[in-house]
Amino acid sequence: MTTVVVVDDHPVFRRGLVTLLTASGHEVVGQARGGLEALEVVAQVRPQVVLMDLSMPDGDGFEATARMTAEHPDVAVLVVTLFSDEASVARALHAGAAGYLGKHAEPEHLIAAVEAASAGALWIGSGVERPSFAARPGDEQAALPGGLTARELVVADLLARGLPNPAISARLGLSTKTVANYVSAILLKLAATDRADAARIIRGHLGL
Amino acid sequence: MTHDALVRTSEIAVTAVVLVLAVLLLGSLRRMPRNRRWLVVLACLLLYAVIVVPGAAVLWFAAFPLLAGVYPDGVMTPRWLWLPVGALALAAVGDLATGGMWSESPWWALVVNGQLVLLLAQVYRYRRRSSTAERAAVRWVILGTLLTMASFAATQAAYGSIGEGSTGSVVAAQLAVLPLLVAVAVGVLAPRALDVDEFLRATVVSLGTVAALAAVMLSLTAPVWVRLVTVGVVAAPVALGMLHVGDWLIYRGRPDPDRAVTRMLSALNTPTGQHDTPSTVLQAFTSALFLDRGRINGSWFEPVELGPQVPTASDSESFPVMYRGEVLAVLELPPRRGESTLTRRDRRVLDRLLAQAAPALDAARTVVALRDSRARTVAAREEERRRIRRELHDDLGPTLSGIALSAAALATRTGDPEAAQLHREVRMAVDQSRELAYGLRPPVLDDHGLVAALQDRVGGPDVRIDAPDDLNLPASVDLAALRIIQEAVTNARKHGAAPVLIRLRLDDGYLRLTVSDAGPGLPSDVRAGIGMLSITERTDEIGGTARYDREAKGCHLLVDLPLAVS
Repeated sequence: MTTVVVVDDHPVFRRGLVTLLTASGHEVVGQARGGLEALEVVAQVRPQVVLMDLSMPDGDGFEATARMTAEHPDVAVLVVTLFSDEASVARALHAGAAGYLGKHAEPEHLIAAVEAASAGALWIGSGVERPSFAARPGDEQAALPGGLTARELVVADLLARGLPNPAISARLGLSTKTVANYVSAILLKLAATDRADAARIIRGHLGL
Repeated sequence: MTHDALVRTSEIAVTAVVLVLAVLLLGSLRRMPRNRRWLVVLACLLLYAVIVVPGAAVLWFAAFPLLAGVYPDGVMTPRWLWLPVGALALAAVGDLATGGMWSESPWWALVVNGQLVLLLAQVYRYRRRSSTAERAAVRWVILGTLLTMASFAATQAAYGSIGEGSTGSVVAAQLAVLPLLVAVAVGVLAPRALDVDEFLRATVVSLGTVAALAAVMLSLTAPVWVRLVTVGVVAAPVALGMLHVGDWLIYRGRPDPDRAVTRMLSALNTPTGQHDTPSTVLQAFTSALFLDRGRINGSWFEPVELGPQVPTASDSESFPVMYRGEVLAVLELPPRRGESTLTRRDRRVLDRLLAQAAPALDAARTVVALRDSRARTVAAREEERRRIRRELHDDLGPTLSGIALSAAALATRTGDPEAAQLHREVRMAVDQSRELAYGLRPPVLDDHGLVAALQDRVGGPDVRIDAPDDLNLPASVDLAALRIIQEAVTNARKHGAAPVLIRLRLDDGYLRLTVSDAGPGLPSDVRAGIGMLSITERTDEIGGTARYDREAKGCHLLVDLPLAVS
């Protein structure tokens, strides 16, 4: 049994999620209609997993995810959203999300993702445009190569595609200094000699 | 009839004509009492007296200088001309008083040559000061002088003398002055009642032709039949040549109505847009009439102006372009430089051009209206699609998904096969609504905006996007921009070289987008390919413009899309 907080501004969808989770043996310990409210609720009830919508009128889901994972590293945030484009997936993962699903996801996948998230695994749902590091077909659950964190993986993915640091920082909305830090961490973890070497290793991992 | 009777009859005829003209001239004074023209009338009467009163010939030196000084408006121009005119009149009166003594003196040559000053003054006045009506008056006098001189020349040719010897010569010489007398009077009374230019041109052409042929006939030293055949052969070319000479002398190469219309129609028959039609029409008018400025305006296009300064209402005349009872446009045309109004021939050219410009402007207006209407339709359609997609995607979709989840929960909890069936059916509805929303508009465009959509569709290490942060675009504009840029980047990747730069700017009610690459650019002989065609189509559809900048290095596509439809 996993304790879950459901964050979504759409009442019918939120109720559906709550009903499904409850019926599947999980405990919904809180609900919120926006990102700001979600931060308060999570601070109070300390769930294992948060199901987070991205587009909400009262507090953006990216922002809430970033703050939540920073404030409560033990809480796994699983994004359940209408956005299915690659940039949103990368942005959410970079904000610290432990997984990403579309709202049209199959119920059993939703439940599986919640369980994977509580176990600390990355989950990218079908039907969203998956970044290349999670692009192996038929494989919902992606392994993290080389012990990289999800955030580092996002940067590594762009690095493997040949983007220079300024382009990566523009793409992810980070300062070039932060990107440079990520890149050196990636080089270290992959035991790569330089960027080109790292890119080659990552491409090998990702099957690019 | 005897010789004397004939001469007397012609004398009486000339006197009668002169009297009639004198009465008309005096009558014209009554019509405009507060006018300096009495001086001109006085000069005319003096001239008539010189011709019809026996023994008054020396008064010519009073009459001609005065007439030349004040013709046609009664104002001595320039004013100091009164001095030579007065001196010459004094000399004439003195000669009359002394019974012809003065004219015998050697200094009398000064009086004769003094008239030249007056002729030069007329030339100065004509070129610098005269209004169009005044110029016409002077041209009447030139016409009269030409005809009179031609009559004298004909008399000389026919009788070997002028006013002497045979009866015919005397009578012809007397009648020969009539054209000049009448022309001077017409110039004063009604210079613009008839088109003096057409008379002048006909006179120049016919006299020139006759003179040229006579010269050929007289100068050849061959048998008569050879000379006649030669004249017969050269007659037609000479006449045609004289037509051109006459045209150039009188109209300075300004086209006649037919040619003006032909030029305008061929200028309109080019592949430029219908938006340029008013400008083309205006240019046709100004170039046909040799105007250095002009203006055209209308409710359906931006006013177009030509020339250094805007014509003001005071000096320009307005000509409405009418078509089927509607005013399509209004032309404002000033007179030619140096003229005060348009001539009669100008008006004939104008009338023909106006008649031909009307259907062209009507067609252009229709096309412009259609384009605007299509742009409005496309804009409304895209806004509507965006709205429907938003409803489907943001509201109906999650609602159905939520119901599906609830049904799944119900099936899980109860194990009821009907609940499982319900869940499957609702899931089908979820998929249908997603497909419907996806088919309406590219999702990323409405979820994250144009720049994100561009990153998603054409982004890569070889593409740089330079755009302002908050692009809040109408639904038709962001979709068109996305499609156009996709096409342009595809072209650039196929034919050009990296990096491809996409630049978006909001400026003056337009989204101005540029796609440029560092490749070899468009070959000069390449016309629009399929890619360019679809770009043009996308642009046209919402009333924008697209072109390639061939000046710059590489391939530069420039597209302007209006944010609001007029």
